Amino acid sequence: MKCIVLSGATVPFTELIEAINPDVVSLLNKLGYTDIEVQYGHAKSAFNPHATVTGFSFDLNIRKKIEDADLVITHAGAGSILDSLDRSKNSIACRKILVVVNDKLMDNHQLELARKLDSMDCVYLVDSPKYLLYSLQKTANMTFTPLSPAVSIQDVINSELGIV
Amino acid sequence: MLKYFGSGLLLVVVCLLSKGIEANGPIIAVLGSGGHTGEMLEIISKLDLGSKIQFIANTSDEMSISKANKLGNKFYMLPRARNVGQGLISSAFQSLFCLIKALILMIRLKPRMLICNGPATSAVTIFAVRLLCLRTKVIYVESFARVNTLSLSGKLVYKLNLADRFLVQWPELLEKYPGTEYRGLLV
Repeated sequence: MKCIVLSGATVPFTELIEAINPDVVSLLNKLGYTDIEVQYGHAKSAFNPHATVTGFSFDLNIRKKIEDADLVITHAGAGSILDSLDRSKNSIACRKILVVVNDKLMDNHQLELARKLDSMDCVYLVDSPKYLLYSLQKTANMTFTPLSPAVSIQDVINSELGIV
Repeated sequence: MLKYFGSGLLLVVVCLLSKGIEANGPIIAVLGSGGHTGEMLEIISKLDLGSKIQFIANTSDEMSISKANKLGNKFYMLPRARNVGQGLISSAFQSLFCLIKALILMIRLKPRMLICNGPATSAVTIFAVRLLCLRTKVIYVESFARVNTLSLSGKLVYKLNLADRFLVQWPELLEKYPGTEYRGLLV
């Protein structure tokens, strides 16, 4: 199975990249994730290569990579969370998403979204990179819920334009 | 100075009397930057008239410009209204500069519809069409990231009642801000 780690593009979340340490990697391997990819952005120095771990800075086709992943470990940015969420309506093979909070960031209005999605079982909220190992153990047998697909605003536009 | 003020006042009176100026121009979506752009392009991709929609992007926002370029839709530029973490006074000047540019662009285009989802540049564009008394339909979509509170642009647009339709993506906001609409997730 495949696991992808998203550390964010604008603000480097080095603690999350560093949290993919040998202990976490061996647990991931044990859980069946033998293909682990880490998006380290501008923080390559924080990245530990390993036999089952590869890294990259940025990828324009990040969505394709996420699509192929069975587990996503991501920072709490709304864009990355949105890219990660499973919209397939198929709860049996729903992708697992762990949202790791950057507890060093003061302004955390992004938490509001992560908390909401956690309460809907769409993601699992990890309060700090310190708890990643524990959270992986805890979520090993947990099932996640896909998020409902997006609705078009075509009818809103039509009614405003006077098109029936 | 007085002359300008006088003609400005006259314009406002004329607008009020004439119930606004006809707007038959294009449908325009404002690409805010970063996550806002991503959400807007997602919303646009679900529309039949996706390719006919024209865009406004920030001059300094290369990511949005390259995405708009790739889609091939026509697009226009506006200077950024406010940088993240910018001070109040300097952002006020910058917003004013952006507003003047937006006023000129809106007079030229007279868009029949604006689709906006924040941040500051889209709020300024909405101000511009309202100041000009254009009969532009304004659809404001609050970000997917906003569950319990509106964004700053969202609050401004909501409090001043500048949008014809105000869509939110979480039911929590619907209860807090009457008059908004919730139809499910839009991105």
